[in-house]
Amino acid sequence: MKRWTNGSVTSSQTNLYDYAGSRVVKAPSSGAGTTIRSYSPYADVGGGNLTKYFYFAGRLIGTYTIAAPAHLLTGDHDPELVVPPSRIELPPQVLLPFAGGVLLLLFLPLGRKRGLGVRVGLARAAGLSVVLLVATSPVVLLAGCENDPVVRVYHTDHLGSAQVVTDWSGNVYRQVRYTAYGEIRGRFNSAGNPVGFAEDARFEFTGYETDFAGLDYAGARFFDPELAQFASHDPAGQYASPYAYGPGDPVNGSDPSGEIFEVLAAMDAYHETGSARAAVRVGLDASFNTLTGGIYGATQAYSAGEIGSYLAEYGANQLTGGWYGMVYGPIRAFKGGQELTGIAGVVMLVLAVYGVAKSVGSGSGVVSGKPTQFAFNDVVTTDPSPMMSTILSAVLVEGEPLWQTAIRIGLYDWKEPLGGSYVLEALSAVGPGRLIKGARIAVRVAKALDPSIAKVVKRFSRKSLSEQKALLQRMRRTLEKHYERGGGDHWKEVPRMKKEIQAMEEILRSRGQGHDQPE
Amino acid sequence: MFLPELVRSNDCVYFISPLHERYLQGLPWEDQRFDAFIVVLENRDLGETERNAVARITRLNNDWVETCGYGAEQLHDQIDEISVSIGRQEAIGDGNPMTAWHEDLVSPDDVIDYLALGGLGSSDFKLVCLVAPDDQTRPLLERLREKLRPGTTSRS
Repeated sequence: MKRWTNGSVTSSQTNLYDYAGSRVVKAPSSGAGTTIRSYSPYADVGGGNLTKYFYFAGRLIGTYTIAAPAHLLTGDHDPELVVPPSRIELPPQVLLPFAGGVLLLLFLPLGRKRGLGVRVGLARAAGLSVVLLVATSPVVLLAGCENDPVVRVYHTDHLGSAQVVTDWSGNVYRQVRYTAYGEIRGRFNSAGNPVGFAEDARFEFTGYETDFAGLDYAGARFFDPELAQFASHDPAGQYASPYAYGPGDPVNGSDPSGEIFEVLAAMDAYHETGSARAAVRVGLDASFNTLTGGIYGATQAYSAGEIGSYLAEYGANQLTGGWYGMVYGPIRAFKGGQELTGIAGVVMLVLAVYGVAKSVGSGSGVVSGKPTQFAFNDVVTTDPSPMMSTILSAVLVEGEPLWQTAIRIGLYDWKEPLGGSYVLEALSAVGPGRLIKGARIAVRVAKALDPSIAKVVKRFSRKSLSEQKALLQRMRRTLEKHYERGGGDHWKEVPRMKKEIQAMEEILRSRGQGHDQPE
Repeated sequence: MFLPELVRSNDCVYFISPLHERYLQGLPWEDQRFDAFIVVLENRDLGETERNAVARITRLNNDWVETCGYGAEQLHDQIDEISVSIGRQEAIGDGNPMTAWHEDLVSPDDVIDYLALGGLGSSDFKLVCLVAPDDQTRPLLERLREKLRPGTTSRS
């Protein structure tokens, strides 16, 4: 690739691409230590660090960098080392044991005896476990995170352009302003002073990676914001000019991949975050109106304090932030205190006091007029809480009910630094009614199904009818072959296969395919 | 020889690799349970490196190991024998790992279709070790990647 420059460009870099055209190696000239190897959109290894990327609706919303594990950097590996793309698929290893621990604690006073603990019925205990789960996130859930990650959260506009980049606490790292076609008007720090390009905030115009010599890496092509067009031909041939960036309307659409210009695609996602935020707030209120009891009140105070503190800290508005914890917490604490007994009462009271104190502390900061961390004078957004919407936008999948989101995120994302907060938000949005209902269903399913079969059923159920038939046929054939080899039921593989076949047939029957027979 | 790569489908993560031990030393999902496919589309005896890789796979934390293509049945037998010899299962057929062989899957198209189904196992992670002639590897990978692309195998 060649490009005319004004002579001030002194750096160069080597890029390698796979046969699909995606960059797999980026090696700046400044030394091996800054070499970046891009193996997937989800992770890089470079300069001794491992960076993971988080997306929503195709937009980069955050990065998470830690020192790369030694095994990724040692000479034992070939240059084609492989990086885990994400831990989104990890199974629950903290959340569920934690829930179990809570229930165990609550059921210690067997036989409704008053002792170390408190008299508590089953329904109340279940409710309390939900409350505790809500109240203690994300602290517990973050316990499994790696040490000292550098988190960059990208607060984007509707085009996916990074307007503000913050750390995980919401402290501004830099702000970026662009011309319509993505030329950088300026980069500024939190004080508004001009700053230069930073490698750890290099995703700027519409999420493109700002690259050497002023070009933006767009995936399929490089984009030249100075010329307002791409540097090479459009693989999709969308417009009369093969170099054109969209149809001449760069403020109402973007081309995140360099091969498909999407008009207003991001706008939908942006609006979605607003409705989700409203849903969460409704959920917050609704979730505190159904349970009663002494412990409940105290834990509510704690929960309210935590949430109030959380909202205040991350720049939510005053009513839902500081005021929430300050006002709601003490009221609940008082109600709860009327019914508290024994050591548990003391424990819960401490939690309540802690929660209220925390909420007052952080809430007062907001109420007293302390500027929020998101009071920018140049950010074009109607959202008072970019951090909150960013978090929420990360957990949403278009068309998915929030309770499903809660389950999905709760089960799968706990280990990421953003994940703990996802769980908090998602659980808050769900409310206890649905959670308890979900738990009942889960218990029923768990009782009815062999655990190893349950997973088969889950995966099989997602398949199309033709895929299900093909798999069932293949499984039957495998079973037959085991019989032909003389395995029979004394081979432990065989009974399991039979169970799985039975489960598959059950699912097919439920889809009106009950007479399906081996072909 | 091709480079290993990760491909995400609708609900699984596939790690597609040559049948070579060096690529199996640190799987992307680390120690989590997975399903393995050993696909042999080249009608020849496996070399020592490849046999070592098979032994390595048998030692990993997999639920199902399925062999496809030429020599699938013999390869399956070797896996069972190795499982017994390393104490992973007491006797052949004990189901640790679960095994299946598909000697009928010798054409790239059939293999791709079957891999896209996810096989008989239900783990979220799939290891695909591929032995194929060099000239077939690239188009096969391209088609497999396309087939696994999210949205192409969703529920109808």
